[in-house]
Formats: sequence, structure tokens, C-alpha cells
Amino acid sequence: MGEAVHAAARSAPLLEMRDIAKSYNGIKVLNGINLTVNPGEVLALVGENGAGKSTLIKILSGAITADTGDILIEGDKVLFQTPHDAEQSEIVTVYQELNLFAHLSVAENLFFSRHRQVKGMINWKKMNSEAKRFLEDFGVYLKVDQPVSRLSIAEKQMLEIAKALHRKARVMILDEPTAVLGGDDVGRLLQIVRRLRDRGVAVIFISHRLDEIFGLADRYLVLKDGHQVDDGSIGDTTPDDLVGKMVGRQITAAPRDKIRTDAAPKLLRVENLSRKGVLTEIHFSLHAGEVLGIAGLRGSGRTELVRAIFGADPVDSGVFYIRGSRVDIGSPGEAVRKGIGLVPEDRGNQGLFKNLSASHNMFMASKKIKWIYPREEQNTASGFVDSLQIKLAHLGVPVGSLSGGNQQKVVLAKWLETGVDILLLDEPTRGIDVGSKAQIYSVVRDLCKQGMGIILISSELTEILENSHRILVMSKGRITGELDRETATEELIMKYAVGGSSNEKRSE
Amino acid sequence: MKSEANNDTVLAKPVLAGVGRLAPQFLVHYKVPAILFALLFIFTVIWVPEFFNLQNIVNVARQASITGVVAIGMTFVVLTGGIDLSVGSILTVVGVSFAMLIQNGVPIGIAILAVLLIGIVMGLINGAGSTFFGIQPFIMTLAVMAVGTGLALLLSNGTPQSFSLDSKLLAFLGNGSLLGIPGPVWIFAASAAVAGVILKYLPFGRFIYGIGGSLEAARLSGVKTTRILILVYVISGLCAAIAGIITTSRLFVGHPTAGGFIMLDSIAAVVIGGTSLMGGRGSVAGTVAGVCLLAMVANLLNLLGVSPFNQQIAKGLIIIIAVLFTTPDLKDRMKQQWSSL
Repeated sequence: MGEAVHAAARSAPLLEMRDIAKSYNGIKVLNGINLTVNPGEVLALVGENGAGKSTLIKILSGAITADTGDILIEGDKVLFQTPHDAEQSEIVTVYQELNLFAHLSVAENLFFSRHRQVKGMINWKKMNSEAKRFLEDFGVYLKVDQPVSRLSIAEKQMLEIAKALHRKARVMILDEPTAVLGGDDVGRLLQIVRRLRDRGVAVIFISHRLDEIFGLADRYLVLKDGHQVDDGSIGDTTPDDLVGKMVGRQITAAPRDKIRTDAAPKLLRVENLSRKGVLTEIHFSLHAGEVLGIAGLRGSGRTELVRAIFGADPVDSGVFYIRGSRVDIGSPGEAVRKGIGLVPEDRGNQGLFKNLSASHNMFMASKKIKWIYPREEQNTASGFVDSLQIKLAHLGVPVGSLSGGNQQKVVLAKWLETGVDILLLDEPTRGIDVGSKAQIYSVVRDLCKQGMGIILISSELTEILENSHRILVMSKGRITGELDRETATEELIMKYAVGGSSNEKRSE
Repeated sequence: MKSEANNDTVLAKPVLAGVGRLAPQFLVHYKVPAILFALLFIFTVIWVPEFFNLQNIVNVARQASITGVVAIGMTFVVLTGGIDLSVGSILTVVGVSFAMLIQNGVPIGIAILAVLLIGIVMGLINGAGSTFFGIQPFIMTLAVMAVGTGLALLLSNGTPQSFSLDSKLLAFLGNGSLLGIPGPVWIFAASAAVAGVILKYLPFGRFIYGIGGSLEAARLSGVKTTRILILVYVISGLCAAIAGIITTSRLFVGHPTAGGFIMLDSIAAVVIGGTSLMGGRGSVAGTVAGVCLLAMVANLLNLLGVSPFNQQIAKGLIIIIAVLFTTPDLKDRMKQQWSSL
């Protein structure tokens, strides 16, 4: 196709969206959006959650139709009424929630509904060898007969992209592909995206991570509140400039308040916590008024550690002390009664009740209530809506329809309502826009001032460095390093995270 | 403890608030079903005026109450995302046992408590199996259904167990009335009211919706999910047992196949009432409406002289139509399905 496409591209862009508008219930969510993208080009679509990126993508993928405006492919108007129509035009969207069949093999997923057949029977041998060749051409090395459920998230994402490419995608839309990935995997995935671009695919790339945008994109388009705020060549802007346009205000990292952790009372002490194959001899303390960051690569045991403290998983050994007295934590229920709250990594399935209202969500962990007074409950809930600046139409809407940042604030409100002393935050800002991130961390700082102890897990080192008073680094189920905020750097954290030990630095 | 007066106000306030808000909200959320109901009503006034004969309505209500009580219990289970296939067989075992206890001269009060206990224990088994042993509720309750059906046949030797007893309580439970309203209807109304209050005003009820939404999120909120799931099956078993007592009291017979269609009817009523089989969405009010609709339509068909065979077919169609109106975004869905055909 190469030559012809390039020739056409010179006259009209491969894909153009003209003056797109969309309203829901009379509220304009998109207004006058113009987007173009050409073969071999990466367009970064940026904006806070709720800015209209998802709606724009849904229009482009045929999941919904625009109220006004046109979509043109090589200058010809097209009408996308179903996802099938978009696919016919070779526009493929790779969503954050991957559409792979967990129990089918890599090869089957790659060729799904286009199985290699001989006389109506599937030719497995041919299919597997073709799959292997196709993936390796693309720089993805996987055992093609294993079920997809055995792949890591990054591998699944690469497979999803390969699958789209196999279907002859001319335009590929990647919806926050790196949001759920750790450091190494991000690099591998971005490499795959570059290969896509080099093959002449037009890529629309959505990400909240500025370093990726500046390392990958050729052009950018900023949405805010459904309007196109700015667009241009990535070389003509700077990260600060872009963030400013996204949020429409300047975000400055708030200075951390100093605390003397040696003087503050110990809220939680963990000794000799082990779980076979997952956690090995973990011991540490958490002080009142402290944010204790836990860094480490994916699979280093960070999530498993906080789940163990919360009583969500069984452990082989381990002793917990809360305010100096020894306690048993055998279940999440006990943990909650002892004043511990968990904001889990998988917000959608483990933190939220998506089909229930915000107020229903906020009272789900409540220990005090014996009888529900709807009016009082609404008042308390609207108090949290105000204080956490949760954006919602009314308290009755199912929280599944809120943006990621607002959903996470609802999860936080649940624990604030319950009144916990120790808050375990597992990747609290994953997939959350810059503005909400800042708000969540300002809430965290306030809670610390009130004497709460907070454990913060994040894959984004800058977040850990900016918000923690002290940092533990984990690798392969062990704590391999402890850093205080004055001495911590990204380089040091990475050194311990990949397995370098710092026993001499550990105080205990 | 609080004083009695204080307790009264505590109870009265939310209940009154609830009643006050019920009507308009109902009309907003259930516009289509409400219109359908109105059309059905007009149809009945014109074509089947004999429906409005007081004696007929009383009979219909009495009959519907048995399904109704079972459906109330079923609502709890379905709200958690589960299902209870054993309700019919619990009803049967309880009905047969109740008859046989009375045959053997056991005082009626003790007999009632004993058979309610049977329902509770069978519910416990359902709950324990589907939580501790991780057996899917469909399979677990299917197994208990089979065991219960067998038990009822075994106990009764396969023959109906009749008895006679002159008791005011028994009369109330079966064929009697209070203030002109049949005893079973009182029981249905009371169960619906209690269930409605539990689901709306007790944390327990809130947790049931939460479990239906996401079991893991509920567990990680510190909710005692296992306890609640077991209790939900116990409630369903208890409701089926109450329905069993009513069934036997009406006919003075404990019939070993009395359960019949009750399981399917109760699930149909729950689903027609807008409760999602996936859990987390639905209400007791919806279930009550579902029970009434099914009973009314069955009675209308009877009065119109439609044969019992055709009635079954009509019932099936009505279930589909009713559920269509509670499917959210039906138009979008149909469009989507059409494009994947």
C-alpha cells in the first residue's frame, strides 16, 4: 500500500475529524473538535479525565455517533454507526480494558474469527507458525500456544496491538496503554509503538505521562472541558506548558511538611512478615503523620505487602503492633475495626461498587451505623463531595460513570467516613488526570497533618519522591532499601529495586 | 437501652420518609411498567370486569401470596448475584413435615417452629456450600433441590399427607381472614415490609447490594461477606418454609409435589420486578409488582377461558415482554446485536 497512501496523504490527511460536537442530556461534552493524523505519525491526545478524550475516541471507533461534524478518510466522508464500520475503515482502538480471550492461546487470539482452516477444519500447526512469525517480525517474542491468561499485562497489551496490526490497521488508537505498566514494560511497549509508526500506521496516543508524550509523539492536541485548547508540533511546546494547558492552571508541587519520624509515635509496626514465595521477613514501622512510600518494580511484592497488612491474604508468619500493642489481623473486617483502610490497586473491581451510588459507596465500610437515615447520610455524603471536590451530577448516579479521579475520591471518602488511622494506598493515582492527582495528594498531606499514617505505593518514582517522608524499596518480596527523603533519588531507588541490597542502611 | 417512646420515633421517622418519597420516585423510574400496568387495568375494566369481583381479587391475592413470600426471599439471594433453585423443594419438605407433625399430635406452635427450622437449615446448607466450598450457587442449590425433593417423597412415602385440625392459627394461615384480608396476604405484606426495611435501612441490606456489585470490593471494605451470603440463603430458606406452611394450611394436605412451579415463578417475579440476575440492582417493591402482575395475568386468562396449556405459553411470553421493558438501553442494544449478526 505504501506509495499510494503516501501520495494520497499529501493531498488529504489519512484521517480527519471536522468540527465534531456531542451532547449528553443537553450538556456539551465535545465542541468543535478538529483532528487530523497522517501515516507514520504519532498524535498525542492529552487532557484531564473528563476533558472529552474518551468520547472523542468512542466517536472515532463507532461506539457512539457525533451530533454534528464529519469524519473523513483520505478526504472522503465516512459514517461510523457501529464499531464494525470503523473496523472496515481500518481504524482500530486498543482500550485499557483489553479485549482478549484469557483461556484461548496467543495464536488463537491473534487470528480470532480468522482461524487458519483447511476444508473447514482449523489447521493448528499452520496457525501457530504463522502467529510466531508475525509476532517476531514485530519484535514480540511469546510462546504462541500458551493461554493468554499466563501473559503479563504488558505482553497482553503488545499482543493486542499486534492483533490490531494483523487486521491491517491504518489508524490505531491507544487508550492509555502504559497506565498499568511498570518501568521496563513501558519502554518495551513504546518501542512497539515506534515500530507501528515506522510501518506507516497513524497512531493516536493517549497518556498522562509527559515523558512518554515527549519521547514518542510528533504532534499534540489538548482537550479541556470538551474544547480543543491547543494543538501543534511537540517540538514547539514544553512539558510545563502542556500541563498548564491541560489543567488551565499552574500546578506546583506543594512543599512537604517536615516531620521528625523518630519523635512521632509508632502507629504500626510489622515484624517478620512472610508468605512463602511472595514476602520474606518484612519488618518496618509506620509513624503517625508520616507518608511511607513503597517503591519497587511490578511483582516485587508491594501490593502483596499491603494486602497482608490488611488481612486480605493469608500469611505464614508475621506480628503486627498497633500503637505498641500486639494485634491479630486475620481478615479485612478486623483490619477495618483496628483502624486500617486499603485503597486497592484495582479500583474498578476491588475499591468501588460501580453500579451503586456515591453515597452508598461511602458508607460501605461504616462501623458505626446501626440504622440508616437517608437524609443524614446524604448530608454526610455531600460534605465529602464538597471537601474532596468530587464532580458528579447528583449523589444518586452510579459511580461507574464517574471519571477515574472522582472514583478514587469516592474510595477515599469511604475510609474518611469510617475514620481510619492507617491508610494503605496502592497506586492511588493510576490512570488519573493531573488535576485530580494533585487534589488527592493534597488530601493525603492534610490527613498526615491530622496524625494519620499513610503507606503509599506508586510505580511513578516522581510521585513517591515528591510525597513520601521515607521510602522503602522492595525487590523479590524483600525490603532491599530504606531511604529518607533527603537522600532519596530515582537512581538510588532503581538500584535497590532491581535487587541491589542496602542492609547496612536498614536501621533495624 | 433507649426508652420505648424513643424507639418508636427512631422507627417511624425513616419509614414515613420512605413512604413519602416512594410514589413520585416509582413513577419516574418505572414509567414504562406503570403505563403497561395502566393499559392492562383498562383492558381488564372493559373486557374482564368480573376480575373486580371482590371474592375473585381475594382469591387471587391469597394464591399469589405463596409465590410472593418465596419471591421476597429469592430477591435477597438474587441481589447478591446468586440464585436459589431449592425453594420449591424446601417448600415441599416443609409442607409435608408440617402435615405429618400435626397428624402425630404435635402442637401447632411447635410444629411451625420445627418446620421453620428445616427451612433455615436447608438455607444454611446452601449458604455454606456456596461460600466455604466455593460451589456455584446454581449447582449448590440444584443439589439441595434434588435432595429436598427426594426427602419429601421419602418422608411421605410419595402420598399426600392429609390431616384435620380445628385451630384458629391454622385457619388464619390458610383460608381465614383478618379485617377482610386473607391471612396469607397479611403474611406476604409483612414479609415485604420487613424485607423492604432491611434492604433500605439496615447496613446488612446495604452490604447485600455491595456484594452483588463486587464481592471483593465488599470484602476489602471490611464487610463480613461470608456471613452475609450465608444469611441471605437462610432468609430464602425461611421464606420458602413460611410458604410451605401456608400451602399445607390452605389444603389441610402436605403434598409431596407441592413445590411444582414455585421456583420458576418466584424467579420470574423477581426478574420482572427489575432485579438483575447479576446482582446489585433491584428492590422488594419491584418483586411485589412482579408477583402481582404474574398473578393478575394468570387470573385474567382463567376468566377469559384460556386453556391451562395456552396459559403456560402466555406466561412465558409475558415474562419476556416484561423483562424487555426493564432492560436498560434496549434500542442501543438491539442496534449493537444487529451489527454483530
